[in-house]
Amino acid sequence: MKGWRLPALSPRWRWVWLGLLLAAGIVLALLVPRPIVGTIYINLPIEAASAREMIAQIDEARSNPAVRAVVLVLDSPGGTVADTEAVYLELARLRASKPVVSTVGTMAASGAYYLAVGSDYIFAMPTSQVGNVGVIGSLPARPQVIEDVASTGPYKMFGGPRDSFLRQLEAVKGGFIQAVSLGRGERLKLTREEIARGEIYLGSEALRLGLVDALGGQSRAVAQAARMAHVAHYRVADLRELAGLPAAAAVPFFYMAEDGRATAFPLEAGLFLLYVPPSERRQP
Amino acid sequence: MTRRDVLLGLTVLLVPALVRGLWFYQGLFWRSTPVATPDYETLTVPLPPISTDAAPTSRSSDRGALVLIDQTHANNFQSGELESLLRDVGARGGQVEFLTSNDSGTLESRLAGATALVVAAPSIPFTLEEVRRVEAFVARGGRMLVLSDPTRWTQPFDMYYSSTTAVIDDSSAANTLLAPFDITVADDYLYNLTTNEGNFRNVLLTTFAASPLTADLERVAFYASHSIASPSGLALVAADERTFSSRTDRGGGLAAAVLAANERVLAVGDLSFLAPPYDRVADNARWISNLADFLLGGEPSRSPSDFPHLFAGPVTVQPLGELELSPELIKAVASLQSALAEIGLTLHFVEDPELSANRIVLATYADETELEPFISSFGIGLPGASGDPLATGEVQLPGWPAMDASKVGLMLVTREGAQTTLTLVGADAEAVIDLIEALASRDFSACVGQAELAACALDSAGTETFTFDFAKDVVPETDGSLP
Repeated sequence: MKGWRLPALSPRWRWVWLGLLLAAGIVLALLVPRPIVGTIYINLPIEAASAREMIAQIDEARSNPAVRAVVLVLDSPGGTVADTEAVYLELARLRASKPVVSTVGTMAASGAYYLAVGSDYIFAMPTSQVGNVGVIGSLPARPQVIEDVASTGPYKMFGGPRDSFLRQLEAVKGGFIQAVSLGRGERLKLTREEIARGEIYLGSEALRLGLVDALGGQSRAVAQAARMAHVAHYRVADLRELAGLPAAAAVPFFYMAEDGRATAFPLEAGLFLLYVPPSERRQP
Repeated sequence: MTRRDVLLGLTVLLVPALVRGLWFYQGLFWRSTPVATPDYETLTVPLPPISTDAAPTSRSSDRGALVLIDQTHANNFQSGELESLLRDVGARGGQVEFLTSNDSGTLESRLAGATALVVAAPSIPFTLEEVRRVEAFVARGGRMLVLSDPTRWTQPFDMYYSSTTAVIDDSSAANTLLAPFDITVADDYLYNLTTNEGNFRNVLLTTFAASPLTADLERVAFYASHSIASPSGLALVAADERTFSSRTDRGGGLAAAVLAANERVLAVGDLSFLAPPYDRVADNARWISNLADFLLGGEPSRSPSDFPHLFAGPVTVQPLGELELSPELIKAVASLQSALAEIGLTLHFVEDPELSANRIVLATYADETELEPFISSFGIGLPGASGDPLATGEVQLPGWPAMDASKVGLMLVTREGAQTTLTLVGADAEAVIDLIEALASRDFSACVGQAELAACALDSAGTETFTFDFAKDVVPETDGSLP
């Protein structure tokens, strides 16, 4: 390069050149994306369809470089075990690169709280319903012979002994409690035994017990997520739109009573991380 | 172009991007520790602690013990759920009968032949009359096992007022029966979140009071159990401090089984432990065997009013002395035979019955010598052997005033092992026939009973009879027309 020299520019052309470079710099600057705090709304029971959409949004958050943090907006009684775990594990992958903050609306019970503890920080409203750690499910029918239905094993029709089902609940519960312990860490002021009671707490009580980190709504959650991601002047975007998903459609999840009202009980049998509120019956 | 110009150009080119970048990005997100998730691979399904000890060796019972199982109080269980207990009772020689709502016999009549009563998960309260009968049964030495279970609730629909349902726990009905024995079943369930048998409501119990019922027990598993209290009873199977009542969420001082009423009444808060597969978990098999022993250990005293249930097998009739088989006596004995046939027992005349046979002995006071083996245990003073005892003699019962032997007959029950002897003694054949008729018709209105003995005023001796006129007052005679 020795002896190489750029031609000298006249003062007039020099300013033109700098102007061009500035314009190019501005164009280059515009390529720097404005950071996005993505939101994922979970206001349905967690089941196959809703979980699939949540995972699509989590994938979008992970692959989109502009999305620097994610806020889960939770208002759900939970859902099926496997679908909840699937979303929880995807959240864990996302958290490896981007912070995730949860905010609880009316309720983050059971499986929804499972997802909440899979985030870095949890906000709740003072009267949010939080907790309900545990597993629920209806026992399979007692094995019997049904003459008109042929099967190849005693549990082909029933899935297993009733007792085995009960014990499986304990194994699932073990995973849930581990998730709570890992997610909340030192912040949690409840013992493992107390968590296993399955209680639902008001947001303010949940704060005292270390089940959530602060009281506040979605805006505070977004701000916290941005703070954790070290971004400013960000924009908030619904990850459903970024992922190109259609508007959420409610999938029948709860059993419908004869009068058309949805009951608190799942339509399908299985294991659930779900809050089932008391039914309409008088207590003595 | 100088180096300065180049640097200036680069600055102009990059500064906007740098400014924009710093405007948006004020640092880098960096996670110091990896995200931890549950170790799902290590999660295991808890398995039940199967007892390695075989169930205790069966013993046979030769006392004709009969365990009556109540099913007249909308009891919320299937008979198959008691299979293991009933099998152990049978293996020990005991008999089992169910008292169902379709039976002709009442609780009172069926208790007459039973040695133990089992009441499981009742839904309908016991009436005061029934409670009194059971109290009397226990007072006579009968045994009672009451099994309640928090999973056996009912949910009747209130169609008249609220159109809602109310949960009624089986403890409500059980308490109506247990209250006289100072036992209360709480409408709760026990749970333990730290040490349990596969689920929080399946509690492992390791605290036992000293009793034959808890012999060789180290740990039993109850699959949802009420807590049971008895201030005067024995907390037979108690829960540890970490086992809580659902009513209070507190532990300490909770029992799942109590023994009361001179160890004749046992209340257990669980029923499910009897049914497979739970009957083989921990020491449940041994516990069930002990329950069977408990049920067969009762030997309630019998009174003549228990006829015909005081017999558990074929019966022979043995007239003593000079008592002749007159047509009237044969007719009376036939009525006895019918009464026994109602409960499936046979009656035969035998002159010299086997010593081990069930017997109805018929005798007059004059057969003093032959009667001796049958009445000696009662300390009865028969009319004197000298003079004319039947005209002027008196019967002396311990603690009773003297009674005119010519107007009073006696019914006496003695038991020895599985053998039951009912002795009917009167002044003459006619008096014996009156006693037989009273017995066969189970009309003891003219009798005063005291344990195994009853003294009956005999119609043939001019006993007053009562007339009941109230019916005329209540139901006026009509001519068939409407008032």
